[in-house]
Amino acid sequence: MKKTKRIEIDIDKCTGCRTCEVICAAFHAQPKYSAVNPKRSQIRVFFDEENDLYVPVIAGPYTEAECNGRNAYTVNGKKYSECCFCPASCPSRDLFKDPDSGLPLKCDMCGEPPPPEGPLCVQYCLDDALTYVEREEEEEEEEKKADEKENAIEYLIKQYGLEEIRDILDRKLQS
Amino acid sequence: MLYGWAGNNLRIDLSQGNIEKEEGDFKLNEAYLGGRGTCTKLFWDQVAPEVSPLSSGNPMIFGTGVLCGTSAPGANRTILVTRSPQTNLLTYSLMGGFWAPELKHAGYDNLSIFGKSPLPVYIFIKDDIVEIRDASHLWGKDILETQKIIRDELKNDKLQTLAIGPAGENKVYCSSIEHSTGASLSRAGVGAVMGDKKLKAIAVYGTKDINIAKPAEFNELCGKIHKKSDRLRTFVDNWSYERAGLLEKVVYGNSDEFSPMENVGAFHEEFLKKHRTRQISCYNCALRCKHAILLDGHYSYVKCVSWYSFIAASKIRDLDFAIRCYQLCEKYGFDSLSLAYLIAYAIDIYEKGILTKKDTGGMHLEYGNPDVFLTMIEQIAHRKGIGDVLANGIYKAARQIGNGAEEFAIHTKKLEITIYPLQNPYINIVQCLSDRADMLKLLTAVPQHYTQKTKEEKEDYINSEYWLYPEEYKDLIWENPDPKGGDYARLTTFTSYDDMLIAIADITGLCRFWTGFWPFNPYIVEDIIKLVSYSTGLNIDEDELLKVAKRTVLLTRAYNVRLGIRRKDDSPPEKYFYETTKPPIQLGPIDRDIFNKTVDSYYKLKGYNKDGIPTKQALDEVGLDYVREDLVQRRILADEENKKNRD
Repeated sequence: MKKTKRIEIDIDKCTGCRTCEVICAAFHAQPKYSAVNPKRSQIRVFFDEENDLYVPVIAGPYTEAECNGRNAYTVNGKKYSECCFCPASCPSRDLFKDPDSGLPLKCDMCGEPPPPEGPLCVQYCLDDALTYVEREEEEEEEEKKADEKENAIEYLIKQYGLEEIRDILDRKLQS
Repeated sequence: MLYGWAGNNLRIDLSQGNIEKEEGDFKLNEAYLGGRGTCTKLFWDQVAPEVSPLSSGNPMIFGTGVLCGTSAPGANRTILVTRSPQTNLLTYSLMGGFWAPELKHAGYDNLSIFGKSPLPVYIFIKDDIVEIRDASHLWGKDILETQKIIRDELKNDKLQTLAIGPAGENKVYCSSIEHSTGASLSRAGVGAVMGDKKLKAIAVYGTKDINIAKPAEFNELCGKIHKKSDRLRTFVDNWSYERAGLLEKVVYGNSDEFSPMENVGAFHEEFLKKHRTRQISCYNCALRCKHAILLDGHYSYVKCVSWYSFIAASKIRDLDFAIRCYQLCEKYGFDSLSLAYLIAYAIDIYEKGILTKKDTGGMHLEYGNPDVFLTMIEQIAHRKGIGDVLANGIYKAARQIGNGAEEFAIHTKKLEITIYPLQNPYINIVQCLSDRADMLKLLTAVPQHYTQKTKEEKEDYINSEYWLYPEEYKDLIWENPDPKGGDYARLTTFTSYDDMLIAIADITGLCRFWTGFWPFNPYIVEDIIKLVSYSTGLNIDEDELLKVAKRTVLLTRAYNVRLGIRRKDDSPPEKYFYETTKPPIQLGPIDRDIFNKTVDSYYKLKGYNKDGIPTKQALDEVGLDYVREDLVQRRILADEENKKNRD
């Protein structure tokens, strides 16, 4: 078991003030604090005033393609697209992309190592909607990872047939 | 590189469909900083006083404070400067929310809208893309619906919108311009100006940076102030109407009778427990002063007097009812204070026999009946029946009704009064002597919270990090106020200085809740000076900042002086000088001599002459030579000189 610290979000406590966005954007400006622009923030708050819903979403990994999932979430009886709460920087939207360069944004927990008091969004959230907590995580073992690779190839073989996959691998090996 | 400001002004002419982006004038920015200062200056330069409020020549100038869009806590105020069709004066209106920072990030410090569109339109701003779009499908829709449709059709759920509802469309004077989550630009008919322009909404999305000249210093101070808000947060959370005594003396619509509300603390708590789902904040603010209230399946965002204006006006002690009325205000786009008063006024003159069933379309008007209020709100919003008359505001409505109705119409500068009695000296000077005749947000910590404290508490305060006033004012807080209300002289000292502090907040875009409306204000003037200097790179000292504030105040006053405002207008309605309110709470009459002395001392502090006109000296001191010249040219100031010679 490995202990890591993560940001935990309590949407019931969020007041929708977007202070987290502001401080995040300011901190990550180059040079530090030299500019403010929440559109560059690595945390954004999803708003729905009509339904009293305020959800801070922390930027996650970049995805090359938009997902074909698009599940719907029902909150307080109202339906929302999965996109509202999705942390990915993805081709289907502007969220979590630098507005000038279009490059993806991803939360860096305010650098390596993170500040001991927690990332800035947590420090500035006076309502404790964001907290910095320790969590135990299972360490992924090497063996398991090998399993995963084999599973992936087996999946491809199932999908496209052994012949085709072998052809592709041959071509790759030759080039 | 430009620091602190976005750098551009946007000018839209709806008559011609013309959109112009102009580079901001740095010298003007330096002299007026932003917000109310810059907007008032732009208004003065571009609009002659002869232009009538509901004409294409009257612009709506939306502005952002100089600290908006930076990380300064509580800097989120949007300001609108325009001529009011109700008071016929230059008026300004402020709100919190998210709109001003968004506009600044789109690259604009302010937005002037001239002209009138022939068809309903809305304005869409996304950085350098500015469009005037058709709004025929939005006309008649309520506020939340409008916002939703705009966000859907532009496929952007993070657009910040300002919109009018049916009340604004129908040019109802007590209409407002609504933003989301309980923020609105209101009072004095600003919604009607927007409706007159056939402008349904302004949607903004901005993705640009605001640069900071001295990043490290700026950030450190912002962080300090953010943390310093802790004490105020606790104070606001535990603040109760009951302990503040604010609802012991609230007036009904007829203003000669009080409605003391007993045990209001427990009453309020009980309601919150049942209906409040959370507290909400504006942009980059930790104070969460708005309450999300779930009633009948709808959320509304309530704060301040919005809770009690309808209760006071209707004599119905029921918060469910009050919130139902408030929901309609949010839906149709109403200023809840003026609206509540207007309906109470109608009931009052109906009881006196001035209005009859013939006028009301058969409806029996009475206090204590929720249906009367709910029906009247609909009627005023859509200008139906008697609502069409009341929609013209208290002053015009009373004249239209005639038959003695004017005698019972209570207003200062033609604007409806609030629920607090003018017999209270503090309320009186703040309401009567203010340029927009509105006391809300003009109240401040010292007269509100410290005049009745113990000696120890006062000592704590003047030695604390929250003291906002010049050193020499410290001597003034020891004496408790004269219960008979002869305490005006001391109050004017504070209120006149408060007027500067308020102007500073309006210029920088800081919310008054952070800068002195409450005790434990996280900002003091020194902080604001530093933040403005750090963000813009200018070198501003206290003297200069106060001068900018004074410039703004004098400019507004001078504009209104050109429109005929004089000492006689800075006065409560005549009957307050001889009438006493009905038992059991008997207040008044106001002593005319004391009142006159108060006005004298206030004018002196502000740099006005005895007639309420800014003096040449005061104008020159802050560099408003062009205003002096204009007033002399119009013989407003020369007249005063001649009079002196005759004496």
